[in-house]
Amino acid sequence: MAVKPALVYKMKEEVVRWRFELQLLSSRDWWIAFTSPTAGTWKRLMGRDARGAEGEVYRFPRDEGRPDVVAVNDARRTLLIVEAKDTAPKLAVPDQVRKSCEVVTNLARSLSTRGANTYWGSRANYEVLAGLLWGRSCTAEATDLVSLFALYRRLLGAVRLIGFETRQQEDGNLVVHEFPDGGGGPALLIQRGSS
Amino acid sequence: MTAAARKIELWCDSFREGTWAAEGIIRHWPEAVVKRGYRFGFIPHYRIELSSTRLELEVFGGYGNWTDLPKKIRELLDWGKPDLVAYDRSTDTVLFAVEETAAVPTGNQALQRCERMHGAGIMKVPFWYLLTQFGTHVNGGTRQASPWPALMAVALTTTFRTPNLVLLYSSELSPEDYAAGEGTAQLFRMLAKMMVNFGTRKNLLDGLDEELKNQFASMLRFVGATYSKVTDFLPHAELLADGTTAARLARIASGSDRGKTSFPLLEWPLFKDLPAAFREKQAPGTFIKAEPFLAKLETARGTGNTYTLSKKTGARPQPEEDLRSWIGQQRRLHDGAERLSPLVEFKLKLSDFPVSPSGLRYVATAKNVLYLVDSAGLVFAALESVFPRLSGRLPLGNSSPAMVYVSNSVTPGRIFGDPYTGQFAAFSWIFGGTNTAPRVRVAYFPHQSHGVLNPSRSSQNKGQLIFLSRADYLVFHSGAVYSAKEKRWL
Repeated sequence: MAVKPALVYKMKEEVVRWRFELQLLSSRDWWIAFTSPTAGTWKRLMGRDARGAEGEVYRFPRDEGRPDVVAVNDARRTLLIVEAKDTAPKLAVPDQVRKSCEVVTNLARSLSTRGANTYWGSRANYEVLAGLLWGRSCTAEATDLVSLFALYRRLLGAVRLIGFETRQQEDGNLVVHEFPDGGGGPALLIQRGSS
Repeated sequence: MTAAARKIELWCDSFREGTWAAEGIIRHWPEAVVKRGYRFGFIPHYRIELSSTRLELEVFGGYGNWTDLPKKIRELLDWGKPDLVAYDRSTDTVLFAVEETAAVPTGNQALQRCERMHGAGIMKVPFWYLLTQFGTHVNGGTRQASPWPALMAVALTTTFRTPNLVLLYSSELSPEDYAAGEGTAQLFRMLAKMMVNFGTRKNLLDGLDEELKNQFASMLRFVGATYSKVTDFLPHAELLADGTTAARLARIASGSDRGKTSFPLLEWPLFKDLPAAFREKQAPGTFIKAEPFLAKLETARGTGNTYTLSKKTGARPQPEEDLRSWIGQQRRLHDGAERLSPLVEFKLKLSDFPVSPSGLRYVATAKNVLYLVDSAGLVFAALESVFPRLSGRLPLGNSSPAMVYVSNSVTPGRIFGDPYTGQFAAFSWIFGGTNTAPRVRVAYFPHQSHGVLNPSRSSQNKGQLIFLSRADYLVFHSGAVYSAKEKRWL
């Protein structure tokens, strides 16, 4: 990898997630309601009212599992709840699958009851997408998406699944690729990935 | 302007925190021309053009994500990870460090990060702790931050003559709101000015006495309004309301006093010099669980040479099966620990821990965790009388005043984690004496085997690092004593 020695980085979860968040932030339609960790408001999921002002929608109890990113797209009426690990195999560990699915389904349920909150409103009825986010270094093997998605599909029920890969290129640049379960459909964020 | 831009690396616990700080600082340069970008698609990079200088900021999120973490930052991290560290690679200098939290500042929460203040202090790194003054408790009520970190900041500033400050944000109407209160703006305004000084090759704190004075004034106002909630007495409390105190501290912090000023706020007096009303309240306290050494200290409260400051210690009982498990682990640690001579006996047993009304077991002993004793010799005499193995091993003739800190935790090694590490870091500075009025510092762990301490590996455990650097003596179960200065077991 042709990068300056002083800037050599490791493909850890923080790097993987941050690159993904930048992808969301660069999009016109997506905004981030929650990310862990955050500068300060690490336990609060925030919403926006009709004027765009931010306010608290949900506060995670100390012992409750939290997702890594929650993003909202009002144009598509979609809520994206993302679980992240630094590599795809870590997402495939059975205990992780169970915990991640619980986090997604529990949070989706909680947010569906927040319709009366000024900063959430009709978002309580948005479609929920379960997002899996992983990193892939330039030397790593391609991810077996079929197996990975099958593990989650079993526990997610009707919730649609989508994968995101923060991929390291040969020159050290990180690019995000998107893999909807079953393929097809309009891209949510960026270019369609190829494994 | 043709001078090259000066570069500052912002190392932080997460990219979010680093960019939050960078943007917060940039807002204090409304005239700046700022170009933002991302190296390798994700490393935030800022090119900033000001009228007086040009700067480059680069944000490195997550200290463990990089293979080239500067050694000076690694040293600072050994004391605990601040949220933000500014670094100049060209001179290998840590410029400043910041800790911030949105955690509800009740109970021990505010103390949990105090070891980072300590680390910055001893490395003489200017340090700011941004803390929410008001928080919403889980029961729905509004709570206010503890003044302990602010008092610790005073001690560190006056000892190391480097800024160490607590800044408070939020308000009663808007708890945990970064935009409310003065603290967030104070922090970023200061960091922005320091960066301009860096860019123009001045001393980092040049011309910032007024800014520091305002920050100290805010901090002292807060301490003045809240200290009575945590301590029944504060020496020289009149200094908090004195209009010249903040300027005095600012000059000490910036060095513009040329090292000539002292500051007596935390010079705790001997018993005889206490205010009469406070002195008269000192009397032996009662115990939840019997503890012979602390019983000696409590008796000394009645004989006029020991005092405590607050009776607000909690006593949360623990489930019996947990206690049984912990005692078992303590025994195993004891059996595997360095064999001391004379022998240290393991005497912890479940039946010694009183049963609570709900069937749990109390681990708290005395109702105080902090004693100020007129003479260390008295502490050592009490230890010798309770633990005969220490006979002849302690300096009974030491007449310096002393501080005794107690942790009743039974969980093996917990004392070297949250909240005790931060608590001891804070208390050792607040109560452990000053350069002009030093105290011997003793940490007492009645329920911890000496096997939990591994002095040769302390650099790998920040809790051990803190205790070994701030305590003179660490006293464990059954009178196993480690002398931190002599680096040996007694």
